[in-house]
Amino acid sequence: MSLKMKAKISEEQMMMSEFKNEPLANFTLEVERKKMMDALAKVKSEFGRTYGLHTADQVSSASNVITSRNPAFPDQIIGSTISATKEDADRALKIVTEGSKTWKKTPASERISLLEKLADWMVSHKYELSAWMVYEVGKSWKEADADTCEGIDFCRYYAREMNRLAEPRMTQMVLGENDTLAYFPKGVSVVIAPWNFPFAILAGMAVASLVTGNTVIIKPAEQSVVIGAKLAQGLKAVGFPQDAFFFLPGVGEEIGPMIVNDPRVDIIAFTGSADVGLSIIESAARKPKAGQRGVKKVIAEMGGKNALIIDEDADQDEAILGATHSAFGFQGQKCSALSRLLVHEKIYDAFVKRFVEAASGLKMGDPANPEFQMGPVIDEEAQKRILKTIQDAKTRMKVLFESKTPAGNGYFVPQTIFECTDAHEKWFQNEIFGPVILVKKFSTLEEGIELVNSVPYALTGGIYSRSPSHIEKAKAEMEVGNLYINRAITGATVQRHPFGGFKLSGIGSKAGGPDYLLQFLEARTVSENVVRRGFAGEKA
Amino acid sequence: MSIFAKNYWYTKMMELATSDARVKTQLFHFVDVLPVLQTVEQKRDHLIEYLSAPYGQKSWPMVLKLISSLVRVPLLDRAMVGIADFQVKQMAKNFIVGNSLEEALPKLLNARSKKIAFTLDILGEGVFSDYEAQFYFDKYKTLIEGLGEASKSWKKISPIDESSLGDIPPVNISIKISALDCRMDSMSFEASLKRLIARLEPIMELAMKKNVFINFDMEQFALKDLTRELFKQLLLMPKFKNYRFFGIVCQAYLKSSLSDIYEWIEIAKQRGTPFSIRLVKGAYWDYETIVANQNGWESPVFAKKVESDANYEACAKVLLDAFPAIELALGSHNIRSISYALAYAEEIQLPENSLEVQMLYGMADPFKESLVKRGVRIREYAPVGEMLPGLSYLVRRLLENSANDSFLKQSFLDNTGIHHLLRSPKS
Repeated sequence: MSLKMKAKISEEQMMMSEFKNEPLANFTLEVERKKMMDALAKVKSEFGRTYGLHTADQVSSASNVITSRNPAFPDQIIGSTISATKEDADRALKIVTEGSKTWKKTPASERISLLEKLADWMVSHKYELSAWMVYEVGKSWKEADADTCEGIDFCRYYAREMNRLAEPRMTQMVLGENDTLAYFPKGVSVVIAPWNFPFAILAGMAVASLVTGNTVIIKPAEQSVVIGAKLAQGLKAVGFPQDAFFFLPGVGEEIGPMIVNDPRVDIIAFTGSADVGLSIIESAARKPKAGQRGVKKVIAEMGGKNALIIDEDADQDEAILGATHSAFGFQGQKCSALSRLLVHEKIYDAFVKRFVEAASGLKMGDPANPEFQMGPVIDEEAQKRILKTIQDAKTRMKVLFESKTPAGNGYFVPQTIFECTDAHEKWFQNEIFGPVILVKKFSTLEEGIELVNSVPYALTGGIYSRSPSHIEKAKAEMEVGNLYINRAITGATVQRHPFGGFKLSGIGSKAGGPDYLLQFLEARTVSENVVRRGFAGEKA
Repeated sequence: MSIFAKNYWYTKMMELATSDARVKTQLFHFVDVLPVLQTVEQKRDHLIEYLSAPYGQKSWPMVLKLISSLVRVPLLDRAMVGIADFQVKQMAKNFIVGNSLEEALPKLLNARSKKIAFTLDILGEGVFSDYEAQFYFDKYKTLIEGLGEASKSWKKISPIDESSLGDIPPVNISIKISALDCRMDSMSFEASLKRLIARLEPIMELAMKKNVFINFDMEQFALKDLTRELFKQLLLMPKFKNYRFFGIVCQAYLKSSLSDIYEWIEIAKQRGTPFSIRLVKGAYWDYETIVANQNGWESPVFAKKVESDANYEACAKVLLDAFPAIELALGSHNIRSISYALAYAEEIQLPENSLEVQMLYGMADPFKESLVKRGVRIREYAPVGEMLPGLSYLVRRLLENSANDSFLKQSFLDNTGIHHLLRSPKS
């Protein structure tokens, strides 16, 4: 995907090819399976390295590190990064604050060009990047590939979005006055990424920030520092100025509050839990301290308690496929995952029986082995928390299915399906973030929609129905940011499904959509009177 | 033709479906949902929603406007729902031989007496659970056992119970591999292969014992290589090496089909005993095109029908040249394709009755009769099962028959001229 630099419309805007999503790997083809196997082997041979801060160069082993382990085989060390101290964070901020002065003046076309190069770099390392994620966070081949492709898509899409926004636009045609609206970078940003889309979301937020002219501190989740390091290596490899970005892996409690509250920071882009997100929003809302340029902009994507409605006339075969995929893909560790399955009473018994059977057909094991559809959860803390949740839920709800877990010390958690009869049930309202799903009966579509809307979150949701009027009603009344009809509710694709919710699921940010970059920019209106002595000349 | 006649609505629906894409979608989606609806009210509501002119749609078939208004009239709604129900059931009956073997067998024997052989298919594919996979496995075994036993007392009928290489089993069963394993996945190639071999071995052993022909159906492209490798490994096993009566399908709409066929010919020579290949065009064109487009992949199927037709003829030629290592079955309703193959077989002087023609139950009956009259061995693909598991099959038939370039549609619905119908696809 190369830029056509020949016909420049203006200093800022260029001719670019139309955005196309990076095709997913087709693992039904032997040649692609081989590429993945080779990548897994290559990556395995690079286990155990230590990566430094800033540009994530490989360093000799150090003492204060964050170590990433394979959640399927925790004795296996994937790699480590230096664990940043407050001093490191301060140094990082110094660098990117200084770097901001030149980066914000770098023409958009140059920033866009770098982003396209980064996309090409990602494509040439596609299977390896996926392989890192298979080992580091327990993603299956397909989940890892989707993550990598999404990262590539963010680069290409935001490059084109920036191109669109780079040209100042005339607001109105009037004689004697030139009125334009243009977008400018804010300055310095901090990106705090989750471990569940450790490449795509990290890259998406970071490149959105960079291409809009902001410098960026990249803080990966502690559980996914190695794939984060790979991104930073990519930024360096394609030539992003080294004072435009700083890879800063660190313990959240130690450096998080510091970088969030620092007066030099203009933007905080965050994806993670509601608790942490809300505390970031709270601290950003405080009166700007000395040295702070303005009110901090916060972009936060925070989670969901997503539901699927299975209507009376649903295609049950399709619904079962969609529901199992949405609930158990990546072990339910997606903010878009299905956690509440609402089934019409008339089809409840038959549907739930087959749903349970289908769920039991999925196999759990080492995600590097394509035989297994499910892998471990991210770490010991998550495993303990989810097991505790399951125990608690058992005291109030009937268990429809609980799978076995593989032997060994991997962080596996059983697939668990509960039958819920009370919408006020704690786990009907609160996020679990694991392979646990609640099934509830409903009698009318109104009731179903009310149940969907009855939680504090509003991220994804869906309905399986073959009644056009019910579908229209769902479109009008289901309060979710991404509504899916007669398909799975996960797997949002850049540009095709701008992603993000509201209520407690997030503020603003529809990632991969046409409004996303605006959050990283300041709009300035310029009105120039061009009348001199009653004469204005031709309108340009 | 009376509106209560068996085929009136089917023919009408095909006419409407082929004339307007929006109408086609509404009608096919309605057929898809009707069988799961339980109450009259539900059926009425869906009839109204699907058959009424969509909001803002300027032109809409009068007959559909009529039906959707009539069904709103309180006293007529029950009758209209009844008619719709009946018509959709009739349509299904048109393509499905029977709900069960008991219901289907008399029809199959009747067809045999008219010199039309059968290959039986159990409706149902893509299972979700080990429970469902076991269910189909047991069903296939019961079928092979029961029919194999019963066929011992059947009189041999020429030419359908023999080929130029000798007698062939009167019982022929087509198997959908995806019905036998809920985790069948080309990504997990080796593991899937192992599980499927374990499932197919007992089926094939039983078939050999009962003198039954087993055919591996080919489904969506994602499963093609897995299905092929499965068939290849089974066929080369010492215990299966000498049995002539195994067959696999090649889909001519796939760009890869010709190279796949050259591989099959090598395998057949290596094996030393002939096996069959059923050459079809392919029934999942819409699906494959959609999947490829959504994923940004190159489409595995030819974009234009003439390309598939030309490829069909090229494949047929190669397969006929490979006789007797491979016995060819032409799965087609396209008279031009069939004629081409028959003519070529004659040209290379293949012994008589060296190939057979296969057509779907419920389609192209006049063609079948003509071929029987000419002494060609003809076999009907006969699906057995309930309508619900058969709905995918039914919708594929509707899609096939309503495609504007469908040979049958052009012959029977459009009355297209014979010269046009018999034009070479290469031109």
